[in-house]
Amino acid sequence: MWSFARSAVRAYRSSFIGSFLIVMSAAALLSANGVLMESGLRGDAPLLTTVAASFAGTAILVVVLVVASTFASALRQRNAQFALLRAVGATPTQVRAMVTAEVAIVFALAAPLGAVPGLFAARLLTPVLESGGIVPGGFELAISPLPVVGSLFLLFPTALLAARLAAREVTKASPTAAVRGASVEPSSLSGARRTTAVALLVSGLLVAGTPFIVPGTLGSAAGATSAFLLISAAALAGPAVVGMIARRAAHATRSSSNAAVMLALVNSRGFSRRLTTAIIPLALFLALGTVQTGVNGSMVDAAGMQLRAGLGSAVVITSADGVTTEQAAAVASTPGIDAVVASSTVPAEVKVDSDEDLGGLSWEQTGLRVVSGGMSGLVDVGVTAGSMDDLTGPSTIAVSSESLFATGKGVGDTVELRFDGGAEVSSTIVAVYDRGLGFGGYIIGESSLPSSDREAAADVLFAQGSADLAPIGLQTVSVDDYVDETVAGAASQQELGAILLFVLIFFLAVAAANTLVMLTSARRPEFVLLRRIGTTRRQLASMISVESVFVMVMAWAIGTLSVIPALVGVAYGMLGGFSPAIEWPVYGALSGAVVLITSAATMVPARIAGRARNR
Amino acid sequence: MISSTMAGPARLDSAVRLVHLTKTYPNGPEQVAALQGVSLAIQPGAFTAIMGPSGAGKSTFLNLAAGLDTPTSGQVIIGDTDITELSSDAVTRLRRRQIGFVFQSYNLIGHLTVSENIQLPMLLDGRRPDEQWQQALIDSVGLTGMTERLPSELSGGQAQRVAIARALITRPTVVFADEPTGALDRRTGEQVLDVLRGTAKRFTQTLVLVTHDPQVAATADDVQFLADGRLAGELVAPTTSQIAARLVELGR
Repeated sequence: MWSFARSAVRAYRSSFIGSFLIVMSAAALLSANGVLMESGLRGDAPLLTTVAASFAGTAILVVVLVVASTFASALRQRNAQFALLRAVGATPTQVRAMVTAEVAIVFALAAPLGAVPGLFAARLLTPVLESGGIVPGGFELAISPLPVVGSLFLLFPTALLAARLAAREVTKASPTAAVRGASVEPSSLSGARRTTAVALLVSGLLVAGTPFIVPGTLGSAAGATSAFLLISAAALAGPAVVGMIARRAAHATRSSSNAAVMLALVNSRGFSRRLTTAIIPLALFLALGTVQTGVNGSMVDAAGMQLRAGLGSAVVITSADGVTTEQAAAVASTPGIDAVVASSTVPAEVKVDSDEDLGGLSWEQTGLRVVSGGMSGLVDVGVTAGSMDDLTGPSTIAVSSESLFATGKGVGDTVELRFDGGAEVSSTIVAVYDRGLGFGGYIIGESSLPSSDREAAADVLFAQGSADLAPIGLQTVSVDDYVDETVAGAASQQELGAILLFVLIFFLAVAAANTLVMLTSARRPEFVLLRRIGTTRRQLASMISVESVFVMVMAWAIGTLSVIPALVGVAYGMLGGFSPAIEWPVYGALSGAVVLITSAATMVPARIAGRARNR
Repeated sequence: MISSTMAGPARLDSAVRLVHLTKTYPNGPEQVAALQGVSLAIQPGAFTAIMGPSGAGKSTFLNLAAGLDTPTSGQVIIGDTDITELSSDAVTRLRRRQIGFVFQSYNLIGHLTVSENIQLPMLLDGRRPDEQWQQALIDSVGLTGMTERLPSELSGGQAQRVAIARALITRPTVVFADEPTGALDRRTGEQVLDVLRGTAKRFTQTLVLVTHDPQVAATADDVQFLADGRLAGELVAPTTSQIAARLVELGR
């Protein structure tokens, strides 16, 4: 069995190179992510744990989908060979064992080659982690073999399952049926597959509706995952959908005398499975980029909107080095200015969940907004219960409704706080408010803060009225300018997220291109046959162009359709509107990339294959 | 042999003319000649069989004559066009208009239906097949009612009938067949051959057939023998035993 597998690896070099590359980059991606996660847990950098964990969710989903589809398409090309083996006496068990052996060979070589560099590549992120304030300066990432083991643990069964599923069609059928059926792919779906696709579709649409019920970032984050559910539904239903559309298109162009278009469409009709494996990674590429940037963008927009609404007609008073207590007192006594609120941010960890301590996980890193002075009439954070005036009392806190979501807590309950100096405080909730994105999840009165953690200078003052404050070294800014500045700052804080997202969509782009190259290279015999019966090179080239346009359009349509429900939900949850939260420049760039990847990855190998002589 | 008064696809002296055709392959530092100076003219409407021992150059001969391969030197004239002077794409275009080819291994496209496979050379040429002609052809090769099947749903004999119909759909100047019954059992082979021969005759189609079966060759108007890359004589309307005797002689 091993010698068979070894010679298969040699004979199908191009498709193995494809699988090899994908396993390598998948292992690198997962082990780098694992390093971040492990360092966060060990090095007591809870924010790093949070970021790495939230990235891991998406990354694992994407990697599993990609690895599975790569192995499936690499092995599907060889159905004819497996059928032949069955016909000459290989039992289904032997064919399965061979597939397992081949997957194992690829893994044994590729996974270490990817995972080990991935461990060290994570270190490249240290500067970004430091500048984004996710880890303290001088933080060392912990390097251990655990992430490598973890990524193998995840990838190997995935690949094995996908490979066996791909070979299953052959191993299930009788040898003769297998030999006969090997050249065409059925576009019909099995009952279980259809049921799963429908279930995924329905749950995708339901999940997309979460923001209509659950408020704020939580609901939106949940809603955003609907894009993946819908893509998975498309992946399962793909052969039927692609086959149907190609059949319709072939029917519609029946009277056309353009042979290239006709051939391309009947090819798509006949190989809907093969095409689905090419379309899905591309659609995922578009969907992932669009949905993540859309969610991030609308989160920033929503924060700006809440801030603007909450500040109303206030003026914002700042200086480059913060506002000292003396300056604040001077402002308060300036004629024409009244109702001054000083605001600053203090880092702290919050434990909302009163459950057992789950390692470092139940303490959540956050920033507390510390205010002094009466907020009523000046800053409206959208109080839904209690009163912000009670913040003057000892050990009190106001919490956004989102931070309290699903904890079952409300006014009168307590929240545990832990500060940098190690001081732990148990604060009583006196108010619950809505505008958490704009003003932060927690607001605390200065008097409730341990004295060691009080800042020397406030970040800003919010006040009413107008006066020239230049003599005491302060400037007034309009609310609009202040909001714009804050929003720009928030966007740059998402740098790490943006880098991780870029790595992930780059991985997807490689995977999509790789699948297309594998599929096109494997069609060499078909191209030779077409040349033999009188297809010119130009016709072959235009046939391939039409096919790649078909792939492009399908990928673009599936990618777009699968994110729209999520982005409509997010837009509603964050901004209260119904127009989907799409970052148009990003969407445009990703759509362009889909076109580029598809054309490059089909035309180039097709040119090489097309050079084949006609005999 | 076949009178030129019959309505052939083109009124020419020859459907195919080969002039001093030579093909050599590099083999290390040396050149191995697969075909050496073969000259032959095939009359329109004739049925010619090409025979010879293995390695005599039969397949090379057929591939060169059909424009599937280019000769090292010499000319291949189909109708009145010298295809050795054409570009590769021009040869392809001429092939699909004027040459039909029936391969031993059917070479049908697996995901196209029977009728799509048959129409393919026409479609590639940007033409729509004449419905009546296509139907006549399908009836003639005995595929009536099977036009919507896929090749995987056909028997070997049926698949080869599809290939024959595909070769004839364009009313080519000449049809080449490379051991078209080689992969079939004798009975099916005979039926398929009857179909090929009968259809060619019905539509006055020039037919060049490579075979190693004397019985098959005996039904041809004339038989050309190939040995060691050269023509080794001709038999006009021979009997099976004449052919067999000649083959034994050549094999020595």
